[in-house]
Amino acid sequence: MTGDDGVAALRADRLGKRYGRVWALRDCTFSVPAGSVVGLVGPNGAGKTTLLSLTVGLLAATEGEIAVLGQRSRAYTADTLARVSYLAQDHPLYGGFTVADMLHLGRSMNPRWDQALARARLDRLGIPLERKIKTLSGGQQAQISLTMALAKRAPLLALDEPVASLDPIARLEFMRDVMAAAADTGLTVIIASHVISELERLCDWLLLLTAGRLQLAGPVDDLVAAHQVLTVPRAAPDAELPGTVISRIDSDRHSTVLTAADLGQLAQGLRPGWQAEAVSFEQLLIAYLQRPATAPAATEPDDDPARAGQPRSARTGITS
Amino acid sequence: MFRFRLDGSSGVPPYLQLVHQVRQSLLLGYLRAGDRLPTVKDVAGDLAINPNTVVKAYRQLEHEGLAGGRPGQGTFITAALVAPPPEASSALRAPLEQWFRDAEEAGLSEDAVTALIAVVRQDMRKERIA
Amino acid sequence: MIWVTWRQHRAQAIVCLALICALALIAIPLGLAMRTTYSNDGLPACLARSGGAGCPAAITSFVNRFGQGVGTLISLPLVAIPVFLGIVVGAPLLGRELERGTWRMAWTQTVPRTRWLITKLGLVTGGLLVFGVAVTSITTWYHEPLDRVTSRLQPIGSYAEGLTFTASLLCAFGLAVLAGLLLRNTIGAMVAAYIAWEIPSAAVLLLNGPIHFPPASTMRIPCRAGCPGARIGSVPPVTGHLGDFVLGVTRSGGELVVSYLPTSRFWTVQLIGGGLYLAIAAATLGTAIWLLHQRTT
Repeated sequence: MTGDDGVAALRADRLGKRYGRVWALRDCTFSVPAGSVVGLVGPNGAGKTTLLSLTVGLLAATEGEIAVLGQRSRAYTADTLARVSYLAQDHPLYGGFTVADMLHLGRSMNPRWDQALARARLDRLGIPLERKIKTLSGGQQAQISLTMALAKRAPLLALDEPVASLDPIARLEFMRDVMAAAADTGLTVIIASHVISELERLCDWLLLLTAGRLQLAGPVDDLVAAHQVLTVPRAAPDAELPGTVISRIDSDRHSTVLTAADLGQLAQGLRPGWQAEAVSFEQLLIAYLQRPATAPAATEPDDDPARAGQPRSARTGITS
Repeated sequence: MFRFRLDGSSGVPPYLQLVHQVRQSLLLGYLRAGDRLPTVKDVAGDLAINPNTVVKAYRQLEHEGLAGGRPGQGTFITAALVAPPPEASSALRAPLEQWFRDAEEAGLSEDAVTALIAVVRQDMRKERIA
Repeated sequence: MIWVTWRQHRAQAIVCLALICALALIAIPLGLAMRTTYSNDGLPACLARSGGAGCPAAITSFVNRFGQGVGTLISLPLVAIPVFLGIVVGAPLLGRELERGTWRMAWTQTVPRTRWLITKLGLVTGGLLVFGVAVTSITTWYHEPLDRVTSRLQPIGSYAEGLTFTASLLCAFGLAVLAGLLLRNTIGAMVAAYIAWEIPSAAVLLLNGPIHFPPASTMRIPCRAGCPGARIGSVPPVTGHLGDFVLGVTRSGGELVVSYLPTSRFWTVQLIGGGLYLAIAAATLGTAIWLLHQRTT
């Protein structure tokens, strides 16, 4: 799926990264439209940081490619670095520098630096320029890092677990500013996080990774619409249920099943006495995160926007 | 400026919460025709929500005829919410009761009926937006 | 990038400047006093006339006054400064960035990491070079009168002039930078670099000490009228040439066999030692750049 102007903000094609014998990321394909806020979700070690590093140009891909706004990311090149603002976990800064020094660094190392924006932000946040970084609180340091990332004026903002170390108020302030910036400039944002409770209101696009493989990729609304929570008799086998069973919880006499099925399949396959309801975003994430890593990936890239994010097997079940 | 709230645990999708709040305020008279709704940036920055969610809510309001965007100026309330005339509701009531009776006769449980209503509503909504 | 490098090494630059000032404050008055004594004691005339043979007492007292004691205030720190300055400047350059994780910020601005490193190393190496040349210039100026009457070939003397100070500084720096990259740790890199630096340092020391490369020269002086007072510490040296460093004097069949290092050897030794240090500096810095370019993280 591409944005209105035609060029995807972030596009990966069979992207893979191997360290020695271990594949940190394998066979990732997706296409994110410009202006989206993408949630990159997965347990620790699933490959989120690897994916972001490949996007930014901190790592070179072993196979496949990843492109930002149509331009392929190449490790360590100025071109690639200029397209993505990266905010690493723990928002690293030079402790001995003053705030003004950090801005100076940004200006010195980024050709397209917006000093006015940086100054205005810091004014608004009430952070004096002469303070040394190490004397600031965690929340303030995160805000400085965010200021630098925004002043870089790159079309893609990549945040790697940005609020993990912040208290709730600092978290809220931080995300407020990110959303306001996204609204203002049409920035595309990708947020790697394993705190899924906060992602629902932030993200309209989702990438879910487990063990280096992409389990879900697509707009949140479409993904939610493509899944149903069914309440069925315990005896009903998976094969008779509409769509593909993602997770199943069995009680004595009934089971609660999450299936990947669109409304057409549901209408056809729903039996009397069975109940269907929409799945919540959080339920969907948890179910996929808990799936064993050896289960085949449920999604496959497809050029048809109507089918984006739908499971492979569900698609083959649909009659045209 | 009109300020929105978000209830993270209500189970209602964020954009619908925004729509409901506008409708509510219109019914109570806190919002009137001609009032300007806050910009997408203001709402996204205030609530820490995806800007596209706000866009969706505003589009829904436009679709319902409650608000309209003026290019370069923002989104404005275009109509007061008036409760629909009682005759419209009572005219629709009879066919609805008949339909429920038909469904019961066909063997649909209450929940199946609810499911069917949700399915049809969603399909129709998709047709409208597409 | 230039500003960033300056800002990150600003404190170190100020310390270096302070060291140069301190050195100048000590060396300049002393050097001027030395030159006064030198002319007042009539040494220039004596040297011109008899090559120092006519005033051994004056020479000895001059050397005792300025070559030891106060003079060591200048010489001894020169031995310690190169290695400690080199590792203190070099180890955090990559070591601290990797240790603290600030590389994730530094290498995601718009400057590719290799260019970042090359610029940094270029500027810092240049700065250290200027520091080394400044220090060496001051001490060489200080030593000038002493050099006319004694030998520069003593181990400590070799630090005050020539290439040794600057080259060993750059060697320690290069080792520390590479250690910082490999160990991803500042303190560890300092320790590793210090240990590694001792290897070329010991080699250079040995070349000036028991081993002597190129080999020492030998001179045979026939003994006439009984070989008078030919000792190692004679002033002027037995070889008759001020500045030669006599290693050993033995009698053998009516001849004095003198083993010595000719004064002209100074630059040869400096080039060998300095060359070794500089080669290591170039190799370590080049390896650091190459490794950074290859690495995936």
